[in-house]
Amino acid sequence: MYEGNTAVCTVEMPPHGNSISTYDHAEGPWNEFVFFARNTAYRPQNNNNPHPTESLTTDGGYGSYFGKVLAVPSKGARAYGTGEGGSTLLIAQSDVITWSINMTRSGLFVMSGPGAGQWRRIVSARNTTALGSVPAVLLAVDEPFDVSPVAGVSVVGVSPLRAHQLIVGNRWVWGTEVQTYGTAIGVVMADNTLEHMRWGLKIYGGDYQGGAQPNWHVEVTKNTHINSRGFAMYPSKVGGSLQCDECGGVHFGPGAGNLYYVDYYRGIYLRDNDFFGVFDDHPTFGYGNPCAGANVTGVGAGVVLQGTRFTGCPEGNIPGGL
Amino acid sequence: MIIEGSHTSVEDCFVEQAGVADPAGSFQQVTTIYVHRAQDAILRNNYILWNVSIFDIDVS
Repeated sequence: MYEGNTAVCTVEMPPHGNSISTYDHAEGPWNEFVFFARNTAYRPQNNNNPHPTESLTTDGGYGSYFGKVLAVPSKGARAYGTGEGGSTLLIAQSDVITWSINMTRSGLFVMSGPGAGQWRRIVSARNTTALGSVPAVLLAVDEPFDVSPVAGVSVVGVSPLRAHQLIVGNRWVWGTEVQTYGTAIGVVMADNTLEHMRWGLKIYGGDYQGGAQPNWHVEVTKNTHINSRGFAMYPSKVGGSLQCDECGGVHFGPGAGNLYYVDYYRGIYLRDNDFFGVFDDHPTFGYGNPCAGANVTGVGAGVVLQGTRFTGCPEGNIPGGL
Repeated sequence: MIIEGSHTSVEDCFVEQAGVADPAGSFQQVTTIYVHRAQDAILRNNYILWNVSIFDIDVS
């Protein structure tokens, strides 16, 4: 619980991002049940910091697996290491991105195929030869799947779990972005005010630093941007063997030819947000860089954009078909 | 200020010029409140002056 605090920054120093993070993902790749409310953070007026990192970010992404399910040994049966009620599935060792992120207590996300949109907490992970010649990892999750993933079809990701966060009633002034970054499950950003912000609210699922990191069930409601750039929603894009495009959630697995189409966004509600003025009063970043309005380029399943009001600023990029 | 562990509460504090600045590199890290591996921690009604990074919550 982080509530009612005030921070006043009077110097233009490159700040470290203010983060609700899972940087310690080697030992503890989870972060749940955070209440961040009624805080106020000021940065210097006309902050010219060349590296003005985030005013708030949920950070520490990465991922340890992305690929198809090899086998689903049980559904609803006793699962390895979980006692009653869990479930297990097998994934390919060849698609493991890294073991440096502890899979145990990471999130397991069914990204596409049968069972897509479900996530579970991983309670154990171990290498196994259960499939004979195919080296596999046996994952046990905390609850059975409502719809079982299907071997050879469903694509899953294993990434640090950041879930159940309330970011409400805060005020940021002369800052940068306030964002979900990487995995965000069950996050509410509501009744916040952003003033003179170089960026605004961002919903930022994707494959940040490897791994598939969805933003599912995120509600952005009744926030106010004043003389700030607007909010944005798009998947991150990184180079290397893992990347996605800006729009389609296309995700390349670590192996050649592993091209999967996944929904980084599910159940996103952007409702009743207000934008006032333009971001043109900043001496460095504002001029010629008017309010972006709402820049919603990510696509997904169940994205609702409703009741957005613009007063004195352009509408930005809101494609049809959402 | 580093908070680590469970059931920790910091309330109604005034913190001035807190944090540790690392002048090296392009990203100076200044963290005033760092919550690490904490469960059921409460930070409420504090006032922090000068710092850049007001918090860093690594709950993992």
